[in-house]
Amino acid sequence: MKAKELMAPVITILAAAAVLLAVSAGLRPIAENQEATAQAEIMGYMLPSRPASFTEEPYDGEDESIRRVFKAEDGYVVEVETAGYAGPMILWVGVTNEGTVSGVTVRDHRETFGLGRGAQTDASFLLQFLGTAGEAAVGEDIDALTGATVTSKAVTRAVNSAAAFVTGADVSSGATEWEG
Amino acid sequence: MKHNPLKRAALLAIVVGLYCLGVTLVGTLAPMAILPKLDLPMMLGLSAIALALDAYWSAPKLNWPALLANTVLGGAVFALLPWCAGLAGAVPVWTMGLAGAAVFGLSTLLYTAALERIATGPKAPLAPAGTALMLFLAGQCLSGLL
Repeated sequence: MKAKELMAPVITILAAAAVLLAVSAGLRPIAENQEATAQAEIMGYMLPSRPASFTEEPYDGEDESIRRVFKAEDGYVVEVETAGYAGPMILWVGVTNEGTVSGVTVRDHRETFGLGRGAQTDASFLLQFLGTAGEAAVGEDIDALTGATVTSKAVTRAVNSAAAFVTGADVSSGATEWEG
Repeated sequence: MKHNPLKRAALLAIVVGLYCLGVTLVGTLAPMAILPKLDLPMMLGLSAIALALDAYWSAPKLNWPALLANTVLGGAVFALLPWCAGLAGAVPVWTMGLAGAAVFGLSTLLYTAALERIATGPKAPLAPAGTALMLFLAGQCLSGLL
């Protein structure tokens, strides 16, 4: 192997790194602005009054699954991390001041295509959580996604954690523990 | 680069660079989209694409010094490019590098060994792509078991 042969991949790697660094730095302000706009828009749909602005509040409770809390006039949007089948799932859960769930959206996950991924897109599954108040349970008032019971239970734990935060029952929900 | 045994790493840099560029652009234009992460199956998929491109370029042969050098360069690709694109997140650069080197090195070894047995010459035009697909699916199954 000659040094000349090493030059081609090294130059390619450095050139690709330089391009990515420049593009990433150039787009960062746009990306941050776009993300803030999109976040406000989605959160607005999660509470009945469709508030335009939220204030992030510090969370110092015991539930380790709660990552961030955003307050609006008529409720909260709680960012919850839960252990899905294939990795951590991040959800935003809208909860009114009375402790009733008014919106659920999956923000990140690694669930299986065609099975657990339905938690992100299956409206009939997510709609079941609306109106619950921290007592939802798969097999009772929540029908699990077909072939994705673990994912369904993970989402249910996350939603219950968010509701418990508002009602004051935010002891550790074990949402970050995998439950088969 | 016709006879350069290290062009695999250059092709990997192009493939991973395009992936990072695509994710960066989509992440900017559609910030709420859930994008595929650069985890082990994704690393394997990108490695398989690079290996298939390399095989179409020229028939690969097992060459241990080149395999070692490609492994190191593959680690550099997976450590440096996602970091430059801001996609590494909380994962340390050295972790990405070690994982990338392991995935690219192992997939290069397996791909070359499998292709030598599957390809039957110019009359097997689908062999490089088919071998890459087989390798990717096998890796998916393994990651599912893990």
